[in-house]
Amino acid sequence: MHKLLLKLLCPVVAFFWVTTALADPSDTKRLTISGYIKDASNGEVLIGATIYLPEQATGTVTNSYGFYSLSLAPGNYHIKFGFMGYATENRQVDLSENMSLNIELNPETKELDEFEVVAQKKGMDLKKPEMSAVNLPMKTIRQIPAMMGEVDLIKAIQLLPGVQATSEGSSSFSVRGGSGDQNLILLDESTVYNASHLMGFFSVFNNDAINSVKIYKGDIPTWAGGRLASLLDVRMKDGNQKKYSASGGIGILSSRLTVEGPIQKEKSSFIISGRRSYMDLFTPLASEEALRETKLYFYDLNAKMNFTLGEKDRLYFSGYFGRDVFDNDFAGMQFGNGTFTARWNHLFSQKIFSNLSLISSDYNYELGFASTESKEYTWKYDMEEKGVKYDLGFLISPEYEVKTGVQWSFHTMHPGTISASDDSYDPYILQKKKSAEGAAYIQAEQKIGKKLTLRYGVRWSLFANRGIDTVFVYNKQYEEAGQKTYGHNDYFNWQNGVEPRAGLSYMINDESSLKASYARSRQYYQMATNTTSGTPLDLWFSASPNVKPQVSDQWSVGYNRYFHNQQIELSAELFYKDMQNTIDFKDHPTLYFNRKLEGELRYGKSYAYGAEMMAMLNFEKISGWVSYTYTQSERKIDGIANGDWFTSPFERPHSINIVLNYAKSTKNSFGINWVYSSGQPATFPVGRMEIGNVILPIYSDRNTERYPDYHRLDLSYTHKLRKHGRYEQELNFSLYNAYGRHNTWAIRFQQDNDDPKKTQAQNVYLFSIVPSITYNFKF
Amino acid sequence: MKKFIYYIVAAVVFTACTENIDLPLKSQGTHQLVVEGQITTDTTAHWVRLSYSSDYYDPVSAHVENAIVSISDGSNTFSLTEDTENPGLFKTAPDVFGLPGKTYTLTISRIDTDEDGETETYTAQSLMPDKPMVDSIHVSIEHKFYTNVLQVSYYGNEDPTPGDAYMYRVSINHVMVTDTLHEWSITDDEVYNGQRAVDEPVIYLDQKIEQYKVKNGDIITLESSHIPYEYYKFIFDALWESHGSDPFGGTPANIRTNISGPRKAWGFFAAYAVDRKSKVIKTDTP
Repeated sequence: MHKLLLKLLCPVVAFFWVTTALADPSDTKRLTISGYIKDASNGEVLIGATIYLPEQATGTVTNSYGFYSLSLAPGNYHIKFGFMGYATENRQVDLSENMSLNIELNPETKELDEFEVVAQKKGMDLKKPEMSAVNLPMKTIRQIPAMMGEVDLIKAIQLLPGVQATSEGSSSFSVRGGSGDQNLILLDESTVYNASHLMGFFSVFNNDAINSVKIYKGDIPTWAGGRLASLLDVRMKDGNQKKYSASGGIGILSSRLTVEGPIQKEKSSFIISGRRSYMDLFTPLASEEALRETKLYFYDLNAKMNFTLGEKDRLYFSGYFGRDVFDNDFAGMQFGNGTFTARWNHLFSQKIFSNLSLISSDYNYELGFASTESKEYTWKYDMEEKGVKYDLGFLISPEYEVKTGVQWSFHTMHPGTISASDDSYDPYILQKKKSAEGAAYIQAEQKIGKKLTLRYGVRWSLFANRGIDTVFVYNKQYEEAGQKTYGHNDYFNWQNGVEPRAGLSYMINDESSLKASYARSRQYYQMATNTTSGTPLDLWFSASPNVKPQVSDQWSVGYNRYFHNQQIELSAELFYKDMQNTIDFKDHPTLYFNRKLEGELRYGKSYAYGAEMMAMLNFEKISGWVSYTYTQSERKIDGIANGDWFTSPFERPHSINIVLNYAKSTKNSFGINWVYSSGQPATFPVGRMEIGNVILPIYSDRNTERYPDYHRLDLSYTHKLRKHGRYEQELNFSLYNAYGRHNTWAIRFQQDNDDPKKTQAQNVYLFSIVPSITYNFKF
Repeated sequence: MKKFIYYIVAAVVFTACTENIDLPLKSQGTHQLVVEGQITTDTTAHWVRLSYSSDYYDPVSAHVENAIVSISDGSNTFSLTEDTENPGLFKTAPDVFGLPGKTYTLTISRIDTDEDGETETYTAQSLMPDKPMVDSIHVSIEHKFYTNVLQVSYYGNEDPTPGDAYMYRVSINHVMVTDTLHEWSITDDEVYNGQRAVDEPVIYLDQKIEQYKVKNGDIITLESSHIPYEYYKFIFDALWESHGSDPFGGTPANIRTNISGPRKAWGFFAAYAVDRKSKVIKTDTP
């Protein structure tokens, strides 16, 4: 394996060495200016803040740690530091030696600054050879009308073009026709395997603890991988470095509280943020016994600490723990994620940034079912990931930047255990599955002249299963044809692949640019589910001698343009995605408690293509976006739909999103969403038969029909109450599904109660109009 | 284990609303043969019901009449005659019984499903498993699922070879009360293969439902059947697929069948072994 690694990496490294040498003409002396950009009010780092040199028309943005670095010839420079919603900081810098410059920006906004920041951002965004990526500011997310007033970043992401909720109310989402398990969700670099609370009506992300969120729709940067469809990169706040503060909210379904402050002023800080839902407090008031005795709630906790150790080193520790609990007289269920990340940022020099991360993540659930008074069955599932990542960033010149790194992680999955409380049965234990996943990557961003910027890189990923394991061998009919056993820590089924990824941007003029990108991704882990909605009963499985890694190639081209004094940003993208080793499930798969789960899988290929158009508005009082998406996506799977192409379960040909915020005054603002999408593909009966005194359906081929179209209007009104010293407060009123459309969650087919010979279709919908009120505070 | 999923679905559907909608569905185009039949270890007139499938909203299902129907165990062939009062219902003589270990073949001929003037022949095979090993049963009224239920549990051993399946039905005072497919309780042996069941509940009957109501002194009979695994899959599919899809339930697919012939046919012919154990119930409220 090592030989293979060397063989693959040598030419890559050599290539970068040559291009680096070319890009860094040694006759010009270069100096570096670097530092962190922070919020002046709380010391929180600003991710994606702009550093702009207007005279040179060049600049950079801060990385996910709020760090920037620029390499320039000696001289006198005018530098503008900006971030949306903050006053721009102008600095005159005399660069005669390498220097470190930390900047704090004030969140007090003057409108003039807004425009300036937008203008700077425009320059950066147009030039950046990055496509299909959206950075949603937390401020924007908070303004979006939300169900039950519970503002949620995943629900906000689902309003972007190319992203769809997999079913109403779900926290699972489909990106460009992909399935929910093809999204890599990272919270401070740790994988979040199930992002849902309360059947998806809430996501695991507590807004108050989040600093930034960015989604990459397929063109995933080389430092991440292992999923085909998208990367959702969520970063937690570091905590207020200057003073203690608290914020929170009281809503109908849940409340939240965040406390943050310095541990040692300006040097270290903490944040701790918790939420709990309290529907269970009201259920005892219900008239029905079943509801009265049901407990249903969730809680979660985010915590983070960071320490600045001198100019060059920073340490971060962050964690998340959440739990959902459902309990009644005869059954109970608990599920939740835990993540932990320890990170060490180190600057070798102003030009070399490094980060070492230790990460751990787990997801588990437990169900209990009382069979008799004395006997209870318990079903347990557990999966965990432990890994290490090391990243290096080299700023070679303002025109040339290289990032590289290595990653390794161990995965353990316990697919299921059933035991009886009285030991009357031997426990049923499915084989524990262990595996390892690794990657090495290198990526460069290079500006060529004033118009062209290139990004090119490669990720080399590696996977192996790990003993002890017994793997079934299957014949062509997917029947068992033997077994193979592997010993303790035996590595087997080594899989590896090169994932080239590249992008370019070409400035047509100051207002517009053309972009293109290509990305290959490989996915070694997926979820056994044939449903569109996420249940908590996730069952992940890895590649194996029977399951080949899924591979996707995505090509995109795009056009970006600013209009109307940069107040309107128009972007249009076309993409085509070709996927190999697509995994689907045979009809009637047995997914749980099946030793031969792999025999239930079927393989094939799939594709998706589409167009996404979005107009981002940034007027003085009105902000938001309007978007339209067109998508087609099909699969061809051995043994499904007679081996013909069939519609992917996540294809929604047309969708329109309108998300607008109207800030009437500093005190009052209104939000409006309107969402439209084609109905989700469905399989309906075409005939019926009568057996066992019941009427049973005969179905059409898979996904030949659709649910009715989905559309919904949400409204919200936020009123800031009078400020008392430091104490700020606001009331939020929201109306979800304002015109009360009965959007289909499922269509059921039933025999008529009065005339059992008659059959009818029933629309099952979750929501009519949902009004709510939330009180938020901060001090 | 799908039981657990039912509860989750129930929790969501609990808060969901339903309304009848007018949803146009495509037509199946033509009618196909539907078979429901079995032979068991009981000595009785075993029956096979033949009908035609129809469009989903079509309230009339046509019977198959005048077909030739027989069941063979390889050496003996039992012919079935059509019931004069129930068209489409074919019966053996009343003294027929099946034997575990034998493979039974159902043959249906002189039938023309596509009405092209040429007759078709359909067949189905089923291997009869051994009798289930039920030693005794226990019946009681319990408060479960927020209601009072008649709980029937059993004591017995499970066949040590994997891949067995069982079906449970209940009679009250010798009248079968779980006579429709939705009321049959089925299980496979995946998680308890070869182990001994001790007071293991297999069926719950809600005492709010008139036909399930029991009183002190009633005779409760548990009919346990050791069924072929394919028949278990058929019933499982029928239970799971009868209402269409929901986001938790997966993509709907057609109920599996063991009927083969020149054209697509539906339904199942099963050979299975039956055991009955009875107990008189003692309730607090006579």
